[in-house]
Amino acid sequence: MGKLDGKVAIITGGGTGIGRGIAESFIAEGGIIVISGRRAGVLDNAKTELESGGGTVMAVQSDVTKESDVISLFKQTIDRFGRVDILVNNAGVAQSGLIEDTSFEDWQTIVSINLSGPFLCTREAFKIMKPQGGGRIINVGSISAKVPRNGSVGYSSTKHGMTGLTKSTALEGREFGISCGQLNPGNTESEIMVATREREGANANPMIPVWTQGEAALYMATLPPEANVLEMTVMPIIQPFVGRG
Amino acid sequence: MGKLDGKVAIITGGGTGIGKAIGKAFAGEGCDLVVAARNAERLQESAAEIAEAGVRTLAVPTDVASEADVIALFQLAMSEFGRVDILVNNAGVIAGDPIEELTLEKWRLVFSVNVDGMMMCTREAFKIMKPQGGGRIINIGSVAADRPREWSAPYTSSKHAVTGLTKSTALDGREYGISCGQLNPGNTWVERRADGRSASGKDMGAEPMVDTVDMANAALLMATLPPEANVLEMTVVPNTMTYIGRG
Repeated sequence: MGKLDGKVAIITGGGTGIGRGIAESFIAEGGIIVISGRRAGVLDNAKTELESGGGTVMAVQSDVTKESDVISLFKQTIDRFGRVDILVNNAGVAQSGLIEDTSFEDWQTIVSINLSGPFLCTREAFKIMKPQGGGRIINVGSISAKVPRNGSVGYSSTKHGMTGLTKSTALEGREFGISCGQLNPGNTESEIMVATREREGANANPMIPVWTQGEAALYMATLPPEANVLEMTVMPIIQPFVGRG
Repeated sequence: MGKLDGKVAIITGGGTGIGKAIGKAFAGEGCDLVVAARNAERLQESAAEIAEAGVRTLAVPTDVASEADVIALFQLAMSEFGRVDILVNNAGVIAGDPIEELTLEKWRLVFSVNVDGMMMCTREAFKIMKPQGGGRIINIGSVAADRPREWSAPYTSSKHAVTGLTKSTALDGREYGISCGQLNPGNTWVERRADGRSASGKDMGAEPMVDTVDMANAALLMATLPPEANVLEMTVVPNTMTYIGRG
């Protein structure tokens, strides 16, 4: 008996990194998983590996910045499984660069992916979860939703924006049994961060395994419907974050 | 195989409510427990319930506001178990009044338990955890660490102070493998709330509540992360609690 038996979860950006880690934690508890992402090959590999221990995974190639893609993602999920219990707004990109070097195009790109995408997914989820009688939305923020790092204007701004989206979603969903919480990961060993670590060598920041974020999201997902983790920060102990500067 | 086999945890305020539930959750994962509380009778009952999981349990009547009591608590824990892996700073009191009626005595009582007590337990834990090579401290804050309710100035101020203590503890402990995180519970079904009265004593009518077991499982998640990872903060609330919006 898994804690998510019969539950249908959509995880955006579920083919790699933290999204993939969350999918692994959810499927281990019997969840029916829909992973979406932009790269079909990556998604198909993830689907095969996730299903290797049993369970059901549907992979949907989908760009969260495209309204028609998002609508189609939810439609395909409903067509096949008939419901959406959990949405994990995980798809996101990081982007670095000093403010004066950031092009408007780059800014618009990160806002589209990190903010417009989660908004569109949340809207489509609400259309299903309200008549369904409830659901749970988990937004993957970042510790950059609290304190920025240098040269991260687009990332920090959009992650702060996500905190506003989380609070608005939680507030509007409350009376309909829809909960919304935000998981703020610190440095985690996703593919992108591992590449950064290899580039930076000894200067790289400490990181924690992806499964720690997966288990954190699983805890959020398995609370009874009347309880909600509104926010949660999971980070390496020795990551420079708690102090100033 | 429990996730906390071989670990030793001290839980203050472990006689009732969230502290007792955390004790049971930790014991269920094989953790030996030192349970501290002021009320000796309720403490013994709680320790007996926790021990049913088959772990070693030590009950130490303790007033965390008393420095001598706190020092004795950690000495007894060390002489019984030889180490302290986890400290759950859960003991706390609630008192409040409309601000103009607040006595300094009431204010100081709340701070002596909620802040002074937490600092002293943290200090004694550091003395053990530093030479031991690390440990984990979990502070029980409150949603009042972020936003007050009416008539709760001492409680809300003390819980905001807890956030400062959590951050300082995490920072000072970092290079010694000591992590510190804060669990902020919203309304939770503890014995004290059974009469429907709010934290401050003001009658708020029936409020939505989270079960203590769910709150304890949040603490268990924090306690069972690998030593290099930390839940710095976590807020667990009833979905329908009037907290997310303004006012």
